[in-house]
Order: sequence, then structure tokens, then C-alpha cells
Amino acid sequence: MQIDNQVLPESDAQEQNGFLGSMFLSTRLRQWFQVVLVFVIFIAVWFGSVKIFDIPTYILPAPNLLAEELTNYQMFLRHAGVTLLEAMVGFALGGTIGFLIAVVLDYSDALERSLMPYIIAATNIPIVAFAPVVVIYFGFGIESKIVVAAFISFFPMCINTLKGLKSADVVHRDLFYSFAASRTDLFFKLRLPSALPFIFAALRQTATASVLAAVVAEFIQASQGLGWLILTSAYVMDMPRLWATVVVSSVIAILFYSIVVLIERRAIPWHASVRSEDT
Amino acid sequence: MPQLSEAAVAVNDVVMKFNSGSESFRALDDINLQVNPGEFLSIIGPSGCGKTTLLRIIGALVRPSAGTVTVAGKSANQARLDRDIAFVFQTPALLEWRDSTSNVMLPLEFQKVPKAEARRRAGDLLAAMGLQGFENSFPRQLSGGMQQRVSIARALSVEPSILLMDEPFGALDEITRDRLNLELLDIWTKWQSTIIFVTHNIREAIFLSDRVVVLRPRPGRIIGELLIDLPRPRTAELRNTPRFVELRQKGEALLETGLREASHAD
Repeated sequence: MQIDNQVLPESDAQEQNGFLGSMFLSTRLRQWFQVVLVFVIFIAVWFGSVKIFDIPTYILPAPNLLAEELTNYQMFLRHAGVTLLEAMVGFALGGTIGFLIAVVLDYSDALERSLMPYIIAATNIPIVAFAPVVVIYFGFGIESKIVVAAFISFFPMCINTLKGLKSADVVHRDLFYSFAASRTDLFFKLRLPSALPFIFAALRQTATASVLAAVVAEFIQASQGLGWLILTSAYVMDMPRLWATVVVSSVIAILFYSIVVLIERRAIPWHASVRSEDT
Repeated sequence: MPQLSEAAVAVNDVVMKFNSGSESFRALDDINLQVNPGEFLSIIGPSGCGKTTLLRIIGALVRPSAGTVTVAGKSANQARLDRDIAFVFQTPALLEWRDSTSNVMLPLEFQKVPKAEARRRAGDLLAAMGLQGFENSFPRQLSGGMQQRVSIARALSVEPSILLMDEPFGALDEITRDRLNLELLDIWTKWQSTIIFVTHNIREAIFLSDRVVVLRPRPGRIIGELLIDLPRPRTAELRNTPRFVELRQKGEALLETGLREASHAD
């Protein structure tokens, strides 16, 4: 490689990256250590207060009872699988429909102007109020849970895609225009890539929201799933099982979110800023 | 005897008005300009003189309020559709999700040039711009000067008959700018396309051009032009010759006159 004055600024930047990189590694290790430390302290305080204040199990079970409960992992896995399936199918369905509708609205200004206010208003429909209606229409099986999860996934996807498709730089639009790019090229080579950071922001949001939606829908009427497990454990005051289910629900929501983040990092490595800021 | 061919670009009686509320603002007034095939023409003027607007009109990015523009014997817009024109903007305007090679390939994809052929041409152009070893670098890994070189390679990839450059080196430091000026001249002698180059730097304009057109602001009008009779190929030392300094003083005087006229009109 030829070394000239043009290369200097770049090698400078690389050096800086390397330096920051090693700093980052040690901060990251320290962060992990802190996170684990907080967890250990939390469990210790929990365990300690249950023992010292002699808290009865039906109010707050000790962490060891919870851990014991979780050894029955096959049962939890089965219900978690059902809930995760409902959430993921709903997530994919709502996301796809949201994306396609955004593309249509983007294509027609008239449609966008007349429909967008309703879509934004509908975002505020409380899912808890809406879920029973869906359960009545779609039955007690997993279909109704998928619909509730799809419903909650639809709006952020639709709104963000629309915003993202319009986010391309003016100078890039000029560039495409000056090279006489076709509408198809403009869409697939400029507007869609520009929209990807917005789309992933929506996906991160709906990954967690779809798990929540599935659990809430299972509260209404179900024969399986984590929501159903929470409800039945509450009826019989099986506190260790109830708490264990809460933990499992959180874990699958975090898991789903992490999968989306991992895909995002591979799909749009060029976009550094979205990962730290939520839209 | 070389045959007299028609002008590469002809701007006739162009007027550009912008409306803000009830006020109408004349950005360009009575612009007439002929650019010869293969000519390197610079348009210079203080900020607000409408030089960028004029370039955008020639490139058919905007339509003038009155007057006509002919490019390569057809309307500016037809020339754009026929891909006779390529633009280099003030910012490199690279797509951050594409590496250097595929940024250069972009306009070739619009023209449905086969992938292998486009890739080969992009590689050649990047090499010509001194970017060997950076074919697979992404814009964020390149310095400002290198990004602008990729952007120039991209514009040249379509083999335009007319290259429109809008202060392409305005954001760069002087050392990098001088260097890129030399490289641009090098490329231009190889490619033999017509270049219209907008800048507010008189030194750069004289060094590069065959002719420099000077604009005054409010309203944007041509107040004079300089014929640059400096020998080619141009070298860095040329900037210190008496003729260069003389031309530069002439240019500065024209710019000064333009500004005085404009402030009298206010």
C-alpha cells in the first residue's frame, strides 16, 4: 500500500479505534462484573430478608424455592414455547403487514394523509381492553394470541417504515435523480436501505411487546402458555411457581430482543448510532 | 483546421426566481453562457450569487423560471435522461452501506451494465483516482479527500460528456485540495470531457480552468470572464508565476466590483 498524506488521517483513526477498543474491553469486563455483583447482592438480600423477617412463602418465596421450582424445566419450556411461538408468529405477521401498508401509504400521498391520523390514534388502543374482543372473535386457541401480538407489532412497524422511507438525504435523492435512476432502483438502492435503521428500531420494540401481548391474551382465555401458567398459579396461591413463571417470561422477552439486536448488527453494521438511541 | 462543433452547453437568457411569501427573489438574472466541447470552465462568485443554482439548472436538477438550457444538443432534462451528465456534489454523497467499489458501480447498475463489467470499470477508476487498496473500504473508513475521490470515480463511471462539479473540494484543507486539483487535471486530460466547475476559490478556478466566469450576487449576473492562457499541463509551481498572480488579481478585482454593485443596489 502506498503511503501518502491521504492515508495519514485514516491510520490515525485506526490507532484511536485500537486505543478506544482496549479501553472498551476493560470497561466491558468491569460492567459484567458489576452486573453479576448486583445480581448476587439482590439474591442475598432477598434470601436474607425472607429468613430474618420470617416472610411466609405465600407472600414472598425464598429464591431457593424458586430455583427448585425451575428444576421442573420441562413444564416451563413447554409453556414458554407456546408463548414464544404466539409472539414470534404475531411479530412476523404484524411486522410484515405494517411494512407493506407503509410502502403503499408512501406510494400514495392522498392515502397517507387520510389514513395516517387513524393509524397514529390506533397506536393508543390499550391492548388489555382490546384483547378480550380478539379472543371472542378468534377463539381460545393460539390464533387469538397471534392476532393480539400481530396487532401490537403492526403500528410501530408501519409508522417507522414510513418515516424511514422518507429519511433519505436530499443530496442522495439528487444523486439518484441526476443519474436518471428508475423508481425501482430509487426504492431498493436508496429508500429501503435508508429505512433499515428505523425498521430495526421498530423490530426491537415489537420483539418485547409481542411477548407481552401474547401473555396478556393468555390471561383472557387459554389452556396453555406462560400467561395461563401465571393465572392458574395465582388462583391456587402457588407463589414459587408464579414467580418462576414471571422470571421465565422476562427471559424469553429478553432472548427475543437479543436475537433482533444480533440480526441488526449483522444487517446494518454501517449504522452505528441507532444501536444506542431508540426511536 | 479543426471543425467548429456546436457548444457542449448553451445557457440562453436564464432567469431563476424564488418565491418567499409575496416577495419574489431573483437568484439568477439574464444568464447567457456557452461552453465549448472539452473545455474546463469554472464559475466563481461570492456565496449567494446563484452559482450552485446555475449548475443545478444545467444538470436539470431544477428548472429555470425563464430561458433555455441546451446540453449536448438537447434539452438539459433529455441530456440527464440520456446520461450525458454526471454530478459531483459538495459532499461526497456516498452510500454508507456500500464499499468504494459498489459506490462507483451504482450508476452503472442503473444502466443495467453487467456486474462483472461494472466491477472491472469501477476497479480501473478507483485505481486511476489513486485508491488502490481501498476498493473494499466503506465511506466511514475513508478520509474526506478519499471519499471525494470515490465520488469523482463514480461520476466518471458513466463516461459523461459533461461533468458538473459543485465545489467538490470546498470542505477539504488546502493541501488536499491542491493535490486533488492536480489529480483532477490529470484525469481530465485522459477522459477529455467538458467540465463545469463551481467554486468560490479564485486560486483553484484559475489553476484548473481554460476560462473563469465571474458572477455577482443579488441578483446573480455574469459580470465578466477571464481567459486563462496558462500553459498545460499545469504544475504546482505555476501558482507562483507572474501571469498566475496577474490573473488572480484581475479575478479578485472583478469579484470586488460585483460585490460593490450588489451593495449599491441594496
